[in-house]
Amino acid sequence: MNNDQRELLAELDDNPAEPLARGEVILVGSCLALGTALLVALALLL
Amino acid sequence: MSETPQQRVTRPHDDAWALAISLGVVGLALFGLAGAQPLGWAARFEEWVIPAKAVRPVAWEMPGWLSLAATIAAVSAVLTARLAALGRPLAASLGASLAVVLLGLGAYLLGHQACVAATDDRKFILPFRLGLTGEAGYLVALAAGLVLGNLFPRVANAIAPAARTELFIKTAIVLVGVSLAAKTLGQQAAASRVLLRGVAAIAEAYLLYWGLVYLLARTVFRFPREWSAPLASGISICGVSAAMATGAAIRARSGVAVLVSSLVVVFSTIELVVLPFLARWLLPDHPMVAAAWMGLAVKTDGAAVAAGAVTEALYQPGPGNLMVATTTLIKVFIDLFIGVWCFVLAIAWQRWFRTEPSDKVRWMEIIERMPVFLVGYFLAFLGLMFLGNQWPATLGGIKLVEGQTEAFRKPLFALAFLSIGMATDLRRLASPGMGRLVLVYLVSIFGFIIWMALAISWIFFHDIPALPVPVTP
Repeated sequence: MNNDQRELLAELDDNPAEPLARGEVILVGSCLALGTALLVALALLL
Repeated sequence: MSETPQQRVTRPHDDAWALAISLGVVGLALFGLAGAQPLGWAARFEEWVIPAKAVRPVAWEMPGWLSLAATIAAVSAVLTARLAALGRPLAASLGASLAVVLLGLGAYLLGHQACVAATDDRKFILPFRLGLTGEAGYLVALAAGLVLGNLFPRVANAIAPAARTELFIKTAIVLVGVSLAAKTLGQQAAASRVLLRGVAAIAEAYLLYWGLVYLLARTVFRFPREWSAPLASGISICGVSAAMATGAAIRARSGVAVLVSSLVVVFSTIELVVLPFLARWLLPDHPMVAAAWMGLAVKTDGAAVAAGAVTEALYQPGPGNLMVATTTLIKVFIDLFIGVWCFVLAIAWQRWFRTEPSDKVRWMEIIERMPVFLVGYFLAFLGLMFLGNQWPATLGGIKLVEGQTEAFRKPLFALAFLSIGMATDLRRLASPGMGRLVLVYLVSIFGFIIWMALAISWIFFHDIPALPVPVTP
């Protein structure tokens, strides 16, 4: 592991992450909703 | 760590080389359609007690040792040419290539020793028999790579430029396209069923895994967005290529994707060793569910397709089965999906999270990371399917084509296993600061991803036989 990678990891430990933004909620919500809908629909169709 | 120009070009180079090499092999093997076998000298590995009987040529009349020497020379020459084209010194390139090929094929040969591989009591008189089939050679190659990479890092570093997992496995994937066509010709129902179910399985698996891992990384483990997206892509389903492509799509610092990728490699090796045996134990009567499971659960093309090969060896469903083809097919569709997903992420990040005007998405960088070798897979698969369907008289010739390409596919897998082992730096897990990354990986993989993958594989593949059943009109 080189110095840049160590710095990245140290930064990760030092900086607390910001809360979920609206865009992330939309993105993750769409993934889970669409994934579940597809799973049910395709399982029934196939 | 900023990506060096060398690193930036190596991945697309591997793709382009994989495409060129595989199409070269398929092109030569296509003479089989006219009854000729220009690759008939290639080595075919067999179970052995007497080493002299371990290898015989695919078709030509020649001694086994000569066939093996020709195969070693041909593969080493191609690897040397690739390294020389990348500007490395010729002598060092030849040395590294030869060492990798000798180690990989040596391990594969060792795995064919009858006490390890033989599945039939009547064939040899043996003191004991593990019955693992010749594919045990892959595990021997993996073990050799792990020992080399972790105990003899200097030697491993010296030959590492020739040990390219991506190159080996992508070339082999194109050759699996030939194999899939040859196995399903005349049985379009079986082929389209596997294709359709494969696409169906990955469509929702990817979305569900990605959403859940991202949420876990952001909310429970408190990772920033820059880390969470490559982690979600890398951990959830697609491994190194997905982590790298996602990193490019969201403009993450390159070190983030590199660190995530190093973790992916270590864990995919663990999955590769554990999951095939778990599948055999959990699903004794459902080989196709197991094959699909490997494609959906094991990260990186190399480890997933390799896990498919080990799983096939554990089930031994017989010649002409669709197990490795199914694992590969699922991985191929996932590779296609990475491209679509990275475009979605790039647009989302540009729209919602861009902080500086200079943070613009570099579309060319994403496009450069698309898997061009898949062109070869589809060309080989669809081309041979078209030929066989239009002119049924070519079926015998297509079998000859497959026989020649198979002779290269299996050794390429062995080289991929060796390279995976060499690249698996187990000390990474103990590096300072990696704890939280390792934890999110462990919780995601063993907490829900492999179980969701198993459930999805069961839903879509539990009623498909491993050996395609001819449909009578």
